[in-house]
Amino acid sequence: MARLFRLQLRSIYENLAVEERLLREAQPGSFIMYSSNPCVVMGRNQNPWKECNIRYMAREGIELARRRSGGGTVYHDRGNLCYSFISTVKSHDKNANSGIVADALKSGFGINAEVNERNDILVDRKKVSGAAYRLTRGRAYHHGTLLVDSSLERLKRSILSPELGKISTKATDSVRSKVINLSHAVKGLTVDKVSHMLERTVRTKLGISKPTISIRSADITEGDIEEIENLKQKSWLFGETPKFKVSYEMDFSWGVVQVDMEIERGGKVTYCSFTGPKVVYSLPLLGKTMAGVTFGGAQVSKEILHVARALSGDQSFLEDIAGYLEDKIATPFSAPSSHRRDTSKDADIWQIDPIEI
Amino acid sequence: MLGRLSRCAGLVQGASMTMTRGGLRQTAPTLTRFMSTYPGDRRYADTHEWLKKEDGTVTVGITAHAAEKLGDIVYVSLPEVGESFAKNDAMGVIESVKAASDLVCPVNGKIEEVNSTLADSPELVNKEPHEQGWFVKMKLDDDADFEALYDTDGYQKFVDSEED
Repeated sequence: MARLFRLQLRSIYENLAVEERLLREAQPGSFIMYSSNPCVVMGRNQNPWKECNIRYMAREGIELARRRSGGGTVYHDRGNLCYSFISTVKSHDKNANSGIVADALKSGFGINAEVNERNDILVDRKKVSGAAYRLTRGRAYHHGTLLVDSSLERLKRSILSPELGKISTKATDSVRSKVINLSHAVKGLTVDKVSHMLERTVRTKLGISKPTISIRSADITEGDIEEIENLKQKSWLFGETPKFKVSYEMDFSWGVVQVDMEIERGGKVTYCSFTGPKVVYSLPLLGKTMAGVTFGGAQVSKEILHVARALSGDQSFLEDIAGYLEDKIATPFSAPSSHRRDTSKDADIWQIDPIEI
Repeated sequence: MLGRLSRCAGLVQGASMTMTRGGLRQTAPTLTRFMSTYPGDRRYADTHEWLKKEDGTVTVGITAHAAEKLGDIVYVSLPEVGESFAKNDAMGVIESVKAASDLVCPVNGKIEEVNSTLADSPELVNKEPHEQGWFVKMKLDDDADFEALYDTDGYQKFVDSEED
């Protein structure tokens, strides 16, 4: 029997992990809603250094996640409602799904919502909802975001990388769109109100009559925890980045140093070359020692400082280079500790609609 | 309706591919259809991969039908050489128009080679799904896995039955 699920969870990793389980276990035709704490969620095959401002996110406590569906990078917070249609691969129909969401906005709030050819939902030609899909083992989900009253300031700053022009890659690119909150069109609109309207529309269109199921911290399974821990691993967040190249021109008081690096999937530096003033005699050697190092701020700068210690003459130059690169290619995320269910503050975030039979 | 349209597109694409390979020698037209879309020198899985066997090694790709259904492929994530997979395992990911789809392993075996040109040119899968757009070469655990798959006619009938 197809069901409606509300995830009473705020962690993006928990929400993605439970969605992944429901993709396998829920009856096709089911529907899921969730809303997470501030985070940036990139597509399956994207480059985090290119797609987001990692330093800004770390400062603001915005989490980074890589989802299993395709597409581009999005910002979530509690003003954003996520929805997910579960189906078989055969009955996966993205136009029908987007139509249901647009209909809920039209009939519920009189918002003139339109669906474009990328299955984005637009209001006043600005994007309020983006979608992505995952197809696996005969099952598919179509999930999407819905901006209700998100922080557009944080959204903009989180998904604009200062390194955008420095990285070249065949990884999936995000398509940049002008965005708007639904609360801009209808004053006082909240995620809660929109979720109940969407629930009513989905029940009618998909013919779901059974009561809504809440999924709480206590319902998180051992399998979910395994997936949560996978999603938090650096080897998934950063290591799954398709191969790419970076180039920086580092302008120091003592001269300009150019660095070119190639990084394979998995994060290893496969090629590195430094060019700059001849007085920094160890630059050619420095390039060679970088091969095999894992790309990321701390690791790269550690390696450079290691070389610097052996070459007293160049030490201050190399310290400058190490500092610059540590800042530019930051991965300021601590290794995840094992996931614990947080049942202490297990108050529901959603009220469940009573079902009239 | 959509199903029928995409099938027509698949046939047109298949027809032109057959022509560029220099004739119809590998396809055996029957009275019930104009020509087969799928080369006769290989086997096909119900998860829409083709397999071409040379000695103990099979080259694996996805069929023109599958590539057509996926739409424009923008990125392919392939397994590592030396990895082993069981039949129906996900051994990679194909990304097309915001959809991430599993690349399904159609037999039990070990990866011997991957098509690294797909990293820079994933569009080859759409352009030449049965030739340059191959994904991996595998060492079969058991030849029987290969023999159990559809031949060209069997696959064509399977695709037709899925569409109806």
